Amino acid sequence: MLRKCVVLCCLLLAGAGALATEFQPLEAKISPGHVPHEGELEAGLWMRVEQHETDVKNSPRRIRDDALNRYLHNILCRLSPDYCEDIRLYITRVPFFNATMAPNGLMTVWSGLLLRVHNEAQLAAILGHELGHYLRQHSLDGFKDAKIKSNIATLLSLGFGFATYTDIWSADVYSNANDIGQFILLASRYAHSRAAEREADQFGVQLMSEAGYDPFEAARVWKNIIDEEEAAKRGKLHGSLFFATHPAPEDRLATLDSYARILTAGKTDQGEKAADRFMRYMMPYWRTLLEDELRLNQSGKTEFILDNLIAGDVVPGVVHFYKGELYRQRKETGDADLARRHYRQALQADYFLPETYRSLGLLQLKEKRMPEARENLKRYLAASPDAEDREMIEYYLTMGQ
Amino acid sequence: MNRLLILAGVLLLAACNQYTLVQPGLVEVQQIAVSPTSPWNAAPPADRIGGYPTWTTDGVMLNSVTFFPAIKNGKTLFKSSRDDPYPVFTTDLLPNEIVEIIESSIAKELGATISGRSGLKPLRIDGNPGFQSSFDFIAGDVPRRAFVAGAVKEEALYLMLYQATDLYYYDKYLEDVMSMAAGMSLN
Repeated sequence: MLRKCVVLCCLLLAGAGALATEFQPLEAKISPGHVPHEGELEAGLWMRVEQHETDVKNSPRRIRDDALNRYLHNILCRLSPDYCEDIRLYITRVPFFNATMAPNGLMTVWSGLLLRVHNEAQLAAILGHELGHYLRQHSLDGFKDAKIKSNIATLLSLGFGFATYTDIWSADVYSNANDIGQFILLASRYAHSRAAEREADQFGVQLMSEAGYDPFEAARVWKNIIDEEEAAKRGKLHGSLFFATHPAPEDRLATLDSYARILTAGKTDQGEKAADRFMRYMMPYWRTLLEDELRLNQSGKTEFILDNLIAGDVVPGVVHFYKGELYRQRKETGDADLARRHYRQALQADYFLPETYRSLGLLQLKEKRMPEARENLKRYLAASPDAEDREMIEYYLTMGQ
Repeated sequence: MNRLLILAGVLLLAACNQYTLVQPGLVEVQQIAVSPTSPWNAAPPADRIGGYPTWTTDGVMLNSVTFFPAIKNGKTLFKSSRDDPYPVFTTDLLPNEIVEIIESSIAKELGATISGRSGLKPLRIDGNPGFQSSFDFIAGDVPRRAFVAGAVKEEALYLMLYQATDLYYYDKYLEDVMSMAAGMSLN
């Protein structure tokens, strides 16, 4: 009961101030070209991050394509012309929604995030948020906070330990009291993190608005995430560490929306979304991102992402193919028909993947519709002379003869 | 007496965590029998991939062969949960689809990124229609390569998965692995 009360109090304290009632513009805590002085705590933090940056820079997961990297860097420069040269941005092939910011200017953007934003303004909202962390020195504050709380945690642990040793409390009381003490510190650290996230959200939307992007798109990023989670029906969101250290998406959506209303009040032009430009740069990546997404075997989320791409008319020949793949692999009742329907829609597009014929052929092969299966598998081989599975497909062509 | 029991327990525990030498020649690994041409080391339970029998020559981080004996209809290759479901093997899957579930399972189990696939082709295994394929992946920021061979016999999937660092180790034992795959017998 005591533990529940503590949890509730911590959550209420942490949640207070979630809704924006006013907008006080934020300013950077550092100057352009900032470098910490030798011997400072921050210099030590930079040194630790530099080794990590070398790993990120040399990682085989890094997407090195110049055009895409330059595009994201240009968005950073539009958001913050004075500071963008202090940021090194790396795009890494990890199929989840995330971006990170280190105190020395190392920023990473995960490929799963690119799959989940719909236009340049939404991408700018994320990059602006990460810039907000950098400009407000949240990593340094977080490090100091964690260091102080870690010291207090050690003292608390020693204190309760002493109490037990001297038989003042029973071992059970020691255990519970120590747990609660640690829990308060943990909750307080998360609250610190959530406060930093809120500030980064505000700075991000402020930078977006100043750069001429539609600030309402920041809230839409979180609308997408909430809808995706609901589509997945994966239970309560606060089960994940991400939501423990970040404000709940519903709070973020409401707060960011209220910021956007304040920032656009009295303006005739809401700002740019730049969906076409985003789609142009993303064109070479849809296949890779969707294949990585499909391998996660999370059909509810993947279906939601694909539906969004279909609604945005994003390369229909590719997106309908992967929607078909999702249903072919999921194999629930009626999925074979759905898969077939999407493969056919893909084939109606001006540009489609030869693999669409293969997948259609595999479905028909399993249904023993041999003439149609053979026809489609032959089409696949004709369209893909270097197909890696040619020998297997040729074997299928001999089946049932 | 108690001391003897403790000593026996410690010795048993130590024995369980030892690598054991696998000599060239016919070796039975649960329901799969293979004939390696060079010596391998059978990994202790803690170092096995997915809990399946795993062999290595230079350490499991550098190269390993894992045997998946008789995966039944409706089962997954690795431990699955409601919150994190793995793809399921069903007997109606074609080789292309079995390779898809292997890649997805490896991507999830090892946090890997699959970066390429090559050479899916038929392979007759112990009189059963089977397949072999290779794929590239990145795990722990190291480029790796895998070779997989398998067949479905009496509604169960039998697989042999070889994986090694792309640099040096993959090619070093590929010949032995391919010969084991071609001569695999399923019991």
